[in-house]
Amino acid sequence: MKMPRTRRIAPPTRLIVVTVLAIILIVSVLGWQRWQAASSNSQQWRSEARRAYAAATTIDEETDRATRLQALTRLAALTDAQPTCEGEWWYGWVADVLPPASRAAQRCQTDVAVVAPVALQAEQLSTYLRQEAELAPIISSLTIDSAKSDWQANAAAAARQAETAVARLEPSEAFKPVQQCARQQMKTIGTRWQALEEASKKQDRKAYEAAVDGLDNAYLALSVIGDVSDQELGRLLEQLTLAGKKL
Amino acid sequence: MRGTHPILGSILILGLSVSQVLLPVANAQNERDVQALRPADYSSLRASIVKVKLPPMAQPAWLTQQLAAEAAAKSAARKKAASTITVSYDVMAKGVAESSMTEFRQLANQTLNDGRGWARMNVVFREVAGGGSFTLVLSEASQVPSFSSGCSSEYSCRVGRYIIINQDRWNSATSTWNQAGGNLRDYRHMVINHEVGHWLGHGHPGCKGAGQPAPVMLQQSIDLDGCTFNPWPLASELYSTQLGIN
Repeated sequence: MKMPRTRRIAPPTRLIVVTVLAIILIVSVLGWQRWQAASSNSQQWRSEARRAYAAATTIDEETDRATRLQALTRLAALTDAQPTCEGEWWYGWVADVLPPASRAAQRCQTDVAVVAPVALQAEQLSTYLRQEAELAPIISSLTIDSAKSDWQANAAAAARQAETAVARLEPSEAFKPVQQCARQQMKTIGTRWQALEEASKKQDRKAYEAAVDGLDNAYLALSVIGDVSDQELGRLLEQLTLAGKKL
Repeated sequence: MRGTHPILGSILILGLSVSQVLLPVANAQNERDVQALRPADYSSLRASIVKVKLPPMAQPAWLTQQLAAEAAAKSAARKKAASTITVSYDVMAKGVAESSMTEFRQLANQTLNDGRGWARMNVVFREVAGGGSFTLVLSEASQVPSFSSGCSSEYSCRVGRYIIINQDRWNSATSTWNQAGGNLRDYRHMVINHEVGHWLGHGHPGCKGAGQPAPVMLQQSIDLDGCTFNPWPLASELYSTQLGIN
């Protein structure tokens, strides 16, 4: 019986095969390590997100508003540190063929899918609160020091300046209704001061009394800005909470 | 449940029951979580808003003056309303009446309560059927002296509570009055005011100056004394010793 002859590989070809196999092995190991690192990063990222989210949403006597806002800023900043779960050409294929790498890639992508919306919501919320913090001193500029003799003239001028300052704010989508409302209220206050000045010049008692009433109402109506703000802020907080449930 | 094992069926039903009990709890938990975050825990806007208030505004001087004037006017009006004196009087005719008593009554009452007359002392004259504070009489001229020997049949007169209007004068005034261009209606106003003025406590003053309106108590039926005729009491005549008005 004639045994089939074993086909021998030529030494140069054998060298190439061995080299290719070695390269594949090395790339596989490196790829696996990269995926493990990506997964580890994403898990750290998610852990950081959980901590920040918890700090941002814990309402008790020990945590103050400033702490919550700092935590929100940290949470929002996670958008910039988002881990990459897309493999580069030379190792991306490893996740398709190597089960441990595949699992690591899956974990990374899950973490990104969960944390990214939370960070995005936190970013929108932080932006909103930052703009609100810009509006607050403008509103405070309307505070009247009635001890000064010329407080009426100062108050009228302050209302006009405040309207201009509010108009200059560059609002996010969420902050636009608040800005519009604030601008309208300040415009009303300015108009009422003007009506008062005119009635005073004409010594028109009825017009003067109507202007005083109107002015009083206009200052009281500033609380409408707070109502609009609460509505928008409430919506953003709700979206953050909904996104945060998956953390 | 045909073909399903009874125990499996029971487990299925139990499972459904448990899920129905637990699911609302889970949903309620979610709602609590959503509602847990309040804008007030994040926003400082309201704190800024509540500090902005309109202080009480001092009244401008012009408004203070306007209000003071208005308050004074109201006070005066209240005082006026509170101090109004009502004087009742009755009316009668003496002798043969050639004039309309209805017209006499109406014009007398209009004159007495006219804003230009004695009513300016916050006195209201009210005609009554009888028993008034004075009696207004439209008397035939010849009957006027019957009230008192001091009364002439030529002119009107006042005797005690009787205020007697001479019917001739009522119908045609006097030559002095008519020559001065006065009309009959004004004369009638004047004679009523003049004679009631006596009852109020006035005498006969003189003319204060040529060309000036005559005091209503001047004997204008006789002589204007340089004054212009005037059917209504002057401001200086607005007093009454009878009513205690100074």
